Amino acid sequence: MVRIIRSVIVVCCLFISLQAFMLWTATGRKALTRFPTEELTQQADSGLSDLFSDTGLNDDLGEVQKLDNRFTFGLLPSPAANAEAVSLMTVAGPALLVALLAIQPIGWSKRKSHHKNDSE
Amino acid sequence: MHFNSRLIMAAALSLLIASTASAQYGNRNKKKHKGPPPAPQGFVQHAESGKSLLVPKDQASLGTVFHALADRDTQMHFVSKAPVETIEGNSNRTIGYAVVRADDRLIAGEWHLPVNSIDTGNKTRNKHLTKREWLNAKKNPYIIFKILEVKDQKLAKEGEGFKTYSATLVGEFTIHGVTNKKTIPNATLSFRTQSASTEKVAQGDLLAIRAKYSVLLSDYKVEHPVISKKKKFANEVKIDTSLVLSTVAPEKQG
Repeated sequence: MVRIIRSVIVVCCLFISLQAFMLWTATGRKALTRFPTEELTQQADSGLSDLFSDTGLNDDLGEVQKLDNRFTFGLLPSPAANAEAVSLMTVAGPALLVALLAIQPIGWSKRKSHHKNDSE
Repeated sequence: MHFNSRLIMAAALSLLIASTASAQYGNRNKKKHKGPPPAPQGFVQHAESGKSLLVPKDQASLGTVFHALADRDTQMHFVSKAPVETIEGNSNRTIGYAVVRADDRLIAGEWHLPVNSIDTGNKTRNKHLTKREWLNAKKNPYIIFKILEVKDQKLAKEGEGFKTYSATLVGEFTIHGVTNKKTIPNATLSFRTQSASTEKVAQGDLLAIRAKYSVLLSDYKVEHPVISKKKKFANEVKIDTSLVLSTVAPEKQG
């Protein structure tokens, strides 16, 4: 029974880690987590620079670059107490740690306590 | 008696908590009502609205004044390509002006970009950029560019209602409180006269200024271990600017 529970824990933890890795990859493998903002949406919709589209303003220099306004799941946590602190490392890290603890030999903790009692 | 003293203690404690909370709330409200910080000494001061600069009379008398239209399109985009990471950011809160002679010659101008308006897409990183070790927004709240001279202004394209010129801008860049002379070649200036189609978006005759250049942070004494040791932020920052200005001040735009 214990073995089944341990196996379930390991499988679940690996699934969590794998999904976190997939999310990080799917959102561009960025270093930090970020969320779309309303300000950036407004900047994209203003239409002011469109008035110069036929004037040759951007012929040599190209269109002005814009910041991607989308969600990215980062590799590392931002050092802040907000949603940007959630990252691949903070999700997959603890999950892998739990999986690692779950796959340790069953008798390990018992042997350790026996050894402690013997030495006393 | 014992119960009474406990009651008094509890009442005193709750009063203390309430007064601390209300003091903090008051401070927070005070901070909210505080306007944008004033421009540093030696530079053109901001209008009360915070949306434009108070153009010096001696400059305004030289030609037509165009005011930057902030809070609309992206005005500045930067890229820092470091070995470890590429960081991008932008801002659309640059205020300022340009003075243009009747023959379309750009003869004066100054623009102020609030440091705390730089958006890198990550709020925590935005805050870090304003800190003392980086751009020190408290002491130097603005990145400032002041035109000293415009060289080689040549007509590049002309059409119905517009004229476009290429030019080299020579000016003074002030970042982190340090001022350096800067020459920006291959800048583009486009003038568009007011029409039914432009009126829908902005009032007045319009001027767009487009330029690409790079700055070395070390030239402006921005030296952080993240740049020199960790290589997470490049010393060379590439900047792409696109300013749209109007003869009608932002305060009078619809």
